Amino acid sequence: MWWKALCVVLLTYVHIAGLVVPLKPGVFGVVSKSCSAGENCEVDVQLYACHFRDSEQIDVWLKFDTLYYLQASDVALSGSNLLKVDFDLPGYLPTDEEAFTPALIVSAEKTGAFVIPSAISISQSDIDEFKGKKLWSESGVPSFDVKKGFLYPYRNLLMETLRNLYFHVPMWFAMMALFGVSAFYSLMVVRNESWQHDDKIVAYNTVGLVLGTLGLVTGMIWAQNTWGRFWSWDIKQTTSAITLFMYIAFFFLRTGVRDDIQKYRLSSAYNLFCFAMLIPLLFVIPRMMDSLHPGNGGNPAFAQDDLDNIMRLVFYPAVIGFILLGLWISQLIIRIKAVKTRRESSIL
Amino acid sequence: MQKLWTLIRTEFVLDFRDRFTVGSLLLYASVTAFITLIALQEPETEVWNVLYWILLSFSAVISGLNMYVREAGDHRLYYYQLAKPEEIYLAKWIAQLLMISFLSIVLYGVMAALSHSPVILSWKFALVLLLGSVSLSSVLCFTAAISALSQGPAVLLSILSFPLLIPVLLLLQYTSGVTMDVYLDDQYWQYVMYLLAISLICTAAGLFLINFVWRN
Repeated sequence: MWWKALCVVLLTYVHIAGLVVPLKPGVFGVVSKSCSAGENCEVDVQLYACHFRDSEQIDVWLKFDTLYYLQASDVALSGSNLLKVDFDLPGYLPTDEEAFTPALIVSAEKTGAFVIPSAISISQSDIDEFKGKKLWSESGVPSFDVKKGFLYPYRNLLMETLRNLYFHVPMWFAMMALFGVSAFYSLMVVRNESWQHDDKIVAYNTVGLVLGTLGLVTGMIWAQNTWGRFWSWDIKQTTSAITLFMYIAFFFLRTGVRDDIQKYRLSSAYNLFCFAMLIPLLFVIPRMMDSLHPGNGGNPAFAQDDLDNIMRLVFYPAVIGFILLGLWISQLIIRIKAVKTRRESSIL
Repeated sequence: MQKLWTLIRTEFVLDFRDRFTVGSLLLYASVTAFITLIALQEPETEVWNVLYWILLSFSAVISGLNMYVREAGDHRLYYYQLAKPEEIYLAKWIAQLLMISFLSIVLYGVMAALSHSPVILSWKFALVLLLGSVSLSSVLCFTAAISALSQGPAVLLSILSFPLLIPVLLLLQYTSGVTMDVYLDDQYWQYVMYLLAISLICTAAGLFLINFVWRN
């Protein structure tokens, strides 16, 4: 079957590309003493995935707004991913506040330019915005080029856990697809009393439940690394756990009913009722409350421009691949069940 | 319409005729409130709020157990000849709704008598109580039908209904929290809309499915 081959190809591609492709270089952290205007400021910049060598030309800039730049007077490499940077700060800052926090840009030919916002804090005692603006715009606006190539974006906090997008999120998509298919068959049962679909409903719900549980577990492991806890009562965590409870209850209902036809009847009806509740549960309630998930409430997001085109190249195949995998496993379960029933009837 | 009215009235007459049904529910609600308040005595506003809705949902689930008791066995066949399943379902839903709103007022009275109640009595709080009974009954009415018809253990109703009740309880707790000044009140009407939407979805799904479930 062509779609099984497609599933294997897509998932192989997703596992290789998702785990092997490196992140873009980025700034991991900045360590500095408190600096004030007119003094020399020493900054340690910890880099991620840069691997500089001694001979390379590295420029470091402080950036404020889009117009005001200050180039570092001295950049020294003290490890392949550690820079010691000196800034000769002018006497005035381009702001009328007592302190400001410019962004820091590192630029080199090999790695391209990358930025960390609000890197260091600089204070001033004499405030003169006009002089400050003049001093900070002397160097003009430098041009930076961002590195192109098949690399994932570097995001603070998320870092390498960004790859979870290719496994955690597609599992939820696949779960929804499988529950949708089982709801469709339940609808067939309800309309035509076609009981032969019952095995399909059970198979799709089983695989959907397994994929949902895996989605929850991968999410919890990811949350431990980024939010610091396995479970933080995030609204999406809560609603997805409720979803799993609902479908576990579906299987409990089936064990509770003796009569077969009654079992098919009631479990199909409950399955459809649960699916109707999934819509407010997964698509409405999570949108009305703050969530820690990327893309909600000012957290680093994958939405819109944040999910960059290179990640899309892996994410969409992952979604299709996991849905196909779920359908495939369900089909195997249905066929095993069919073979078993046939054997039992032939023995009798 | 006339039939629906008769059905609702029958439900009530039968419920109140054997005093056990109503009496056991009231006793259950008061005793659970008493037990929890022995330990907590003067709970904080948030705790009082959550406690109220949890106790009400427990009592509502117990009331759901009694809902389809009379329809066991041959009685269902008899009912089936008299009225459409949709009409019976709607009558049950309204009777359950009135029963839960009665329970919610009694439970509020008991909890307010035993501890200092943080509720600011207003039409907004009354609306939350009403919405609570509407949404709890719309979830319970269908799950109670399924668990009664399965003839399985009584605990099946709790297993089936609690996962579906959690989102409703979550919304109710937020909405009534707004009336107690626990949460900001700019989202009150949004929560009300969501509760109405959930009740509507559940009732519509129930009405669509009950004919299929009832046939046997």
